[in-house]
Amino acid sequence: MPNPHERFTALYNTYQARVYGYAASRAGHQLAEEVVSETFLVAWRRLDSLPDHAPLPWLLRVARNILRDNFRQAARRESLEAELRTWMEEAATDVGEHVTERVAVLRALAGLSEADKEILTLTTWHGLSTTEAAEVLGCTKAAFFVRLHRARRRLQSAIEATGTTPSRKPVTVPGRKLR
Amino acid sequence: MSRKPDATDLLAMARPASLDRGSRISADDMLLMATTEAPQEPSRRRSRPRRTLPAAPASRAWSRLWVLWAPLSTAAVMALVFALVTSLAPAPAVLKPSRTNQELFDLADRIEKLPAESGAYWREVRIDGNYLSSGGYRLVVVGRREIWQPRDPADLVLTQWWRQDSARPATTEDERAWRAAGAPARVKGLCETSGPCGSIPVAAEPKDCRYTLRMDPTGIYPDKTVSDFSMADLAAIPTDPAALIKQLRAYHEIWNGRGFTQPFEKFLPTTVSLLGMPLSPAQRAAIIRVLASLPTTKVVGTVTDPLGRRGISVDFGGAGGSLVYSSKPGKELPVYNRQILDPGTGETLSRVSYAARTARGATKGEVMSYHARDLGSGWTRPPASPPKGCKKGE
Repeated sequence: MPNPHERFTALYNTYQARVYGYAASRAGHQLAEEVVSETFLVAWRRLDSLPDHAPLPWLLRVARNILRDNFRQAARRESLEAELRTWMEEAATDVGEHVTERVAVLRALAGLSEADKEILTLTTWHGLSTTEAAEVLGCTKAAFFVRLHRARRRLQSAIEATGTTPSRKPVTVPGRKLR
Repeated sequence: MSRKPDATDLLAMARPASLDRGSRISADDMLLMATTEAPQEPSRRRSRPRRTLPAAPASRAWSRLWVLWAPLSTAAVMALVFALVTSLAPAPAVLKPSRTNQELFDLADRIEKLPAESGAYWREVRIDGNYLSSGGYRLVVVGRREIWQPRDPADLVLTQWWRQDSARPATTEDERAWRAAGAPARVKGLCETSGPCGSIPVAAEPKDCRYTLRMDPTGIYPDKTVSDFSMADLAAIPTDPAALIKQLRAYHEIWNGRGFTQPFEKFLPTTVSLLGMPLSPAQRAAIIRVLASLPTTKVVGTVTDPLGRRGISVDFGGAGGSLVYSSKPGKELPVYNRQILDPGTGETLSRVSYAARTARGATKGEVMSYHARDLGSGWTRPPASPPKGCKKGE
């Protein structure tokens, strides 16, 4: 059994980038660093109660609470909006495929509510299963599906409003292939 | 027949690569922060004010600075122990290990019997690092200085310094960002009162070495923090606990003679600078035991120092400090300091300053600066004269 320091170090090395990615997608890079450090400080304090198996949803839930409790909604929104503009600019100057579509979907995402952004990115950007994503949000799997379905519909409408109809290709995200 | 594109697939395609960037805080630094957290129950934590951009309000940001002031909250306990320290007669009792810093007592036990090394010169290689952010990545501006102090004051003292500091990306990730930004050959330093200023070349090592060779008949060791030591004075520092305390009191008198007014117990933590001086392992062990017994001393844990060496990070008390970015009010970044000791010899590896809060482009817990002793430090033979690759300077 590793000592608490070793366990914590392993936990941090394994998951800090995932927590960072989640925080950056919710509130931009500007706030992500602090959310990561606050999240792992909580993890250290509650190391004994932290699930041994698949602790990521637990960590993301803590990060979610920290974002909600420590940062004003306006601050989060302002930071994320700035980040989305950066991402759109980066996507627009990318030399890869589907540049137009990527810019369009980011623009569509920017217009959605904070809740929709979160529910959509949990599965598509952070590679969480629906069960894990539901755990992060603190809702049932059924409720998650309903919310996801509605969010997808709103995203689809927003994309169509941009007039972009790209071809369909399989896509992978960290940890798994999208189903 | 074409199928309507799925919004989720489109979104996955648009995932920004920067989400994989990860935190700039290393696991060691995070562990350091975690282990110095206030040991309070989550349910008893006070709710903190919500933050707005761009900076955290001072009240919240200072909340973790309890580390620096925690000793004050245990004043009663300290007063008791200090009372013991300050009364000379029962001094040996003070050295009775409290075992709150067991790692330091273990370190002292480990090194005490190591063979004492010797040489004609004590070489001190000091590497100074100051971190700065530039264009979305971090750089560390590195300076270098060496002093070759002879054991015999009749020999010449060699001092070397590198006139041109070098800047290098702080991490591999920063190097990627630096390359993505066109790999600029020079960066602009901080042109305020903290850290390097002016244009600094991006290079692996500092350049333009200069040296002086001079006679110093006093033979005084360059670090005069604790006292004015000749090599003979340093060699005579006692290893017996009672005799050591008596000697430290004598240094305290010298300290007071310089105009300081701190009592003995406040002076004692400054003696940590002895751990970077030419002492025998037994002398270092004795000093480490004294320091480990102080209520203000706290072992933080095992960390990797800025030069990549494993060491024991210790908080020897003190109120930290600030990096001052401008003379305007509020343009400061509070920092806290840690001393990192070599677990094999007890010698100082480095003294590191960390950001105490997220502000001014720094993230709480990030290393902001360091003073490190390079591995080349220690007893050695006389230096080459003149030193290779170094020009004579004044």
